[in-house]
Amino acid sequence: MKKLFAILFAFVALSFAPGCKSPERTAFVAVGSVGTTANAAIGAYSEWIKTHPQTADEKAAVHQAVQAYVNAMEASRAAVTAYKSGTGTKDTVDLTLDAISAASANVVALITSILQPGQ
Amino acid sequence: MDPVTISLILQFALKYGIPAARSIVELLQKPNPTLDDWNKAFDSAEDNAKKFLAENP
Repeated sequence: MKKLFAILFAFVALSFAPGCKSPERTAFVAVGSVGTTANAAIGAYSEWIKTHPQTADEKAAVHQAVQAYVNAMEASRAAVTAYKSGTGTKDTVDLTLDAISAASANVVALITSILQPGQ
Repeated sequence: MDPVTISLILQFALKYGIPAARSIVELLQKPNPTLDDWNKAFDSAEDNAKKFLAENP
């Protein structure tokens, strides 16, 4: 029960992260929140496939979705690096954050549909 | 997010994620993230994804 509360606190904290809400910090928290969700879903799926065989279609679909998620994260990392060095814009960073959110949502939805069919 | 998804994620987080959850919360509470902070956030966000892709080519 103590562990459950610790995890719930972590998710609540991620959702309502306190402090100065500069645009950059808002984006920073978004990456962390989105990443935590997708990362946990992928981890849960990795555990699940150890005892449940994947169909070829499932394997391909999940691999593609996870790769797209990683690609989106790396594109955002490059955009943030450029922004922090003064060669990129905040608008470009924001576009990559939109892509991260979409890729993460896709991964979570796909994994949920496989782990809990019919939900 | 639907309750089933939340439940699955919490189950995984309970098994593996307490130190990771604490560290990411601490990281995200920084008011002015540096590039190093950003890279840590990205590394954390991609950790399981990259492991999954490596183990499941």
